[in-house]
Amino acid sequence: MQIRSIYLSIKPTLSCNAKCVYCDTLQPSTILPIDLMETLFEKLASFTKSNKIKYVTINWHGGEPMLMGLKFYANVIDLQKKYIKNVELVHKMQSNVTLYKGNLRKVLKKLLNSRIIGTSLDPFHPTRSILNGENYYIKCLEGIYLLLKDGFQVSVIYVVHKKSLKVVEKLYYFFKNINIHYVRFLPLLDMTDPQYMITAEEWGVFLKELYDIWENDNFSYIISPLFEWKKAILENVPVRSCESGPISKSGLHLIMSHDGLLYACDRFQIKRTHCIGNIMQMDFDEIINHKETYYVYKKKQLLPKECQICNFSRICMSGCAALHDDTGKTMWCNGIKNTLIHLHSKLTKFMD
Amino acid sequence: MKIYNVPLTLVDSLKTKEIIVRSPTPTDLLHYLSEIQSDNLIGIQLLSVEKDNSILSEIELSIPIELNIDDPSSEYSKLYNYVELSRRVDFKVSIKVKPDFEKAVKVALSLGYQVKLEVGQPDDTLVNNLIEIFKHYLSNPTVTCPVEFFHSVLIAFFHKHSTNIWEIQDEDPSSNIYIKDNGQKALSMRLNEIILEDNVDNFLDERRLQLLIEQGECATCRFFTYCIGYFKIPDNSYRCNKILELFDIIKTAADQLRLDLQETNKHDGAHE
Repeated sequence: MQIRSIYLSIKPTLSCNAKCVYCDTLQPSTILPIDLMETLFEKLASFTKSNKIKYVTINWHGGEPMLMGLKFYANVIDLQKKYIKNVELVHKMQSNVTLYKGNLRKVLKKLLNSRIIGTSLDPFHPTRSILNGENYYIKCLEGIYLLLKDGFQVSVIYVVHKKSLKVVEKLYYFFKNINIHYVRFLPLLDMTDPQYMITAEEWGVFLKELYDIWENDNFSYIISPLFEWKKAILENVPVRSCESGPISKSGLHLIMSHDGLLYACDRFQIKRTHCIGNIMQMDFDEIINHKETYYVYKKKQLLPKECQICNFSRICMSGCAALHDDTGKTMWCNGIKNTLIHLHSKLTKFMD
Repeated sequence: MKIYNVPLTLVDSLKTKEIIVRSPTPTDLLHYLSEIQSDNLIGIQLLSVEKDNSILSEIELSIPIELNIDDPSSEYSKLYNYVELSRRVDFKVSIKVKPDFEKAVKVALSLGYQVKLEVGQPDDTLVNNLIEIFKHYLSNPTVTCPVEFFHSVLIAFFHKHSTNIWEIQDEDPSSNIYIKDNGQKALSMRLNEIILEDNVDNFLDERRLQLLIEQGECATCRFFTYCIGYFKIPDNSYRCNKILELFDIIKTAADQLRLDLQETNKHDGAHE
């Protein structure tokens, strides 16, 4: 299989300056050493050259990647100049953006050549706070304001929880009013607190209501996953993402944590399962031949019978492979299916 | 390029800028006009309605003129005096939304004048009158001129384009600067108590941020992207529920218009 592109999500630290009720990334200080970055770039340069790979994307993730500070990212820019030639290397970042200010702003403007940055925000419920007592909501909005001013496209991840069900319309318009590029709604995972956890059915209820509001607003901005699902239904094409839909084997997708450990999926990194190995001890040729590297891809090829006969399997493909239940289906199956039935009925009427 | 709205007496200080000059009377305008470099003059604003404006016929004009109606209940009948002028130049009437403004709007429209509504923070009765005027503008076949801000908002809803009322009403300081009689830069004639700092290019972005941080009704308003808190100045506690009703009516009209056109096109296509 010829690799055509590489997507590398790097978690340079697992520490965070914020605390979210549904996140446990508050780790003792963990820092990716710059010499590990140098090793990565060296191996990446050799692999892309020998395999004629032209496109590499690095998504800086965490923890909070801006905690690494301007010196780290200035070094990354220097290392890239030293090693990466004849490859289009695009940098993106997922951050709470509360630290986007001062000189770090200058360096990140230089590094993040895609001008794409993602953040996360909960405007109506106190699910997020900054450890030093500052107001997360205000600091995040100020960060978004500066990023927009600096020409970035900002996207937001909103984690849908039980309390979100009562404010669907408010959420829709709030995110529209920030003037961001798009918002991605994801259901809350791994939390048993009854005031926050939602069921698959509730996820479906949320998405259906959200769709109706979006439709009434003439689909005026991009909301995920509804945007992809609507497109898939209208154009009869599959969704291309590992979250919902098939993924391609020609794109190598890796997550690297601060210690150099590699995973095929962010959720595997969080759970520390299906580890591929360490970049310090492996070359990319070994990585692409490792059984865990294409675990997600393979799992998508082995859908359970119920999925194979489902009308929406080409859209859902059983969702995220890391979130399959014992039957091999996505744990959100009921909610997704109800939503897709709703969308299909509305959109086909629209097409007629 | 910014446009400066300046009083006649301060034209000299802004010689190199694009200016709209405002004049208390046509006589004052005639007196100063010879001193103004015509290349930079892009519009004239007349601040009072004169019974006799024949003096304007002495001026060769090729730039737009905007006439301010501050007291529509007493001034609407004087609008008839501008028919001759409106035939010679691009002519617009700016009408303050006060009791009886709708009479002035209807007279202006019947005479074929473009209308701009100086809307401010209208009470419920005035918003009901605005709704009535919107319906008149939309449905009366004799109306052939735009009524702003209705017209631009309707077009934006229809085409699903973005716009905002600040821009429509010439009150976005990134493009329009109002120079007070004492030379200070202010937000607009309506909001001339709000003095601007030097760098105002981000005024609307900063306003957007501030309103979102406040988490008042603007933060989750379905029309915020078109308004950006326009109706929250000068009184931030102004409640927008009636204004939202007006916007809903404009949006429904735009959606209906789009559907009607789609139907018509489908129908025409079927006959081809």
